[in-house]
This record gives sequence, structure tokens and C-alpha cells, in this order.
Amino acid sequence: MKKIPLLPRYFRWIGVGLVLLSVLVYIHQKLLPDTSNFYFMKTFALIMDYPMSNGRVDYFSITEPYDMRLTIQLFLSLLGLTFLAFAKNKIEDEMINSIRLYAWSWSVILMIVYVLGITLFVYGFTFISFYYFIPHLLIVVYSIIFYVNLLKLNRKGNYEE
Amino acid sequence: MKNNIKIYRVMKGYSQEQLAVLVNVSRQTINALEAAKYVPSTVLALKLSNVLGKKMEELFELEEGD
Repeated sequence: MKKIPLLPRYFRWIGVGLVLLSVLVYIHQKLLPDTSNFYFMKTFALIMDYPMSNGRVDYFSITEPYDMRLTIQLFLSLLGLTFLAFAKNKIEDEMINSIRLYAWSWSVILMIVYVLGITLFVYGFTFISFYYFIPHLLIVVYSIIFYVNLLKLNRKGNYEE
Repeated sequence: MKNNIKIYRVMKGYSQEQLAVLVNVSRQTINALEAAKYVPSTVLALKLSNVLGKKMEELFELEEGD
């Protein structure tokens, strides 16, 4: 039987830590004054914002200091959520795998509905900000469906008939 | 699909937990199987058949509409 690649159990706690860290970064950057350069740093990246602001273009090179607030938050939260979603459970067997597959299927379907919805009804820059969170939403929806089903199963299976 | 796992498990004197350990799954999986909430893979069905000492046809039956 083909096995789904999963991370060791302790990655769940690393995931929780990373998600909390991204929340802390969010709170911290909100508390900083507008003039602060705390999250401005040089990075190795492709930057093309010529349609906007100052028209900066950098082709995968060490860039000028760039505002990394959103990048740090998105990176930490996505990595944390991924660790949470892909960490092994206490017991892994074929039924857990089938619940996992069911949860992934529904989360993909719901994401397609979400993308179709925002494509039809959201315009302008707001559209881009809705797009940022697609992978996060995919994993959050998957986790909710998976853990709700697991909880239901545990509740039903608590008593031996 | 119907199954007679519960009957043969009780006849063998196993608890759900013991059967789960013997076929290497969780007790919840055995519970779901007995409640016909989950259809096992061929591998698990064969393991159950070996452990309970019954033929597959005795353990599992197709229902109308299957």
C-alpha cells in the first residue's frame, strides 16, 4: 500500500510554535511606529513592482532593503500550518488515511469554490490580498475537516459494544 | 457491505483492542468496521480473515445495492 509521507509527531508542536510566532510578528509590527525600519531587510529575490509605487525591478539578486513584514508572516504561518497538517497522529492506520484523503478532497473542492467566488466577485488589489491566503485556507479547512471527523470517530468508538 | 467480524471476534474471545493489535490497526478502526461504517482494504480483510480463522466469504457479504 502506498503511504502518505508524514512528519514525525513532534512537528505538531513546531507547527504550533511557528503559527504563534507569526501572530507575534503581526502584533509586533502593528505596535511599531510607521517610520520604523525594523522589518526592512536585504533579501535575495525577484522583485517587480513597476506597476506600483517606485517601479523597482530586481531579478533574483540581493535587493535593496525591502519591507518583509508580510513575507515573514506568510512564511511562518504557512510553514507552521503545514507542519500541523502533515504531522503523524498517535495511531496511523488505513482508516485514518482514508479520513485524511476525504479531508483533502473536500478542502480542495472548497478552495475551488472560494477561488471561483473571489474571481467573480472581488476586483482590484483586494483580489490579490484574497489570493495570498489560499494555501493557508486550504490547510486550515483540511485540518478542521480531518480533526472533526477524527473527533467524531473517537467519540463513537469510545465504548466497545 | 455487511460483515460478521463482531460475531467471530466474540467467538474467538478477543476484545476490540486485542483484535486491533493483532491486525495492526487502531481500536476505533475495528469499531468502525463492526458498525459497517468503514470498508477495509483487501490487505486488512485478509489479515482479519487469518486472525479470526474464517474465509473472506464468511466474514464479508455483499448487500443489495453494492
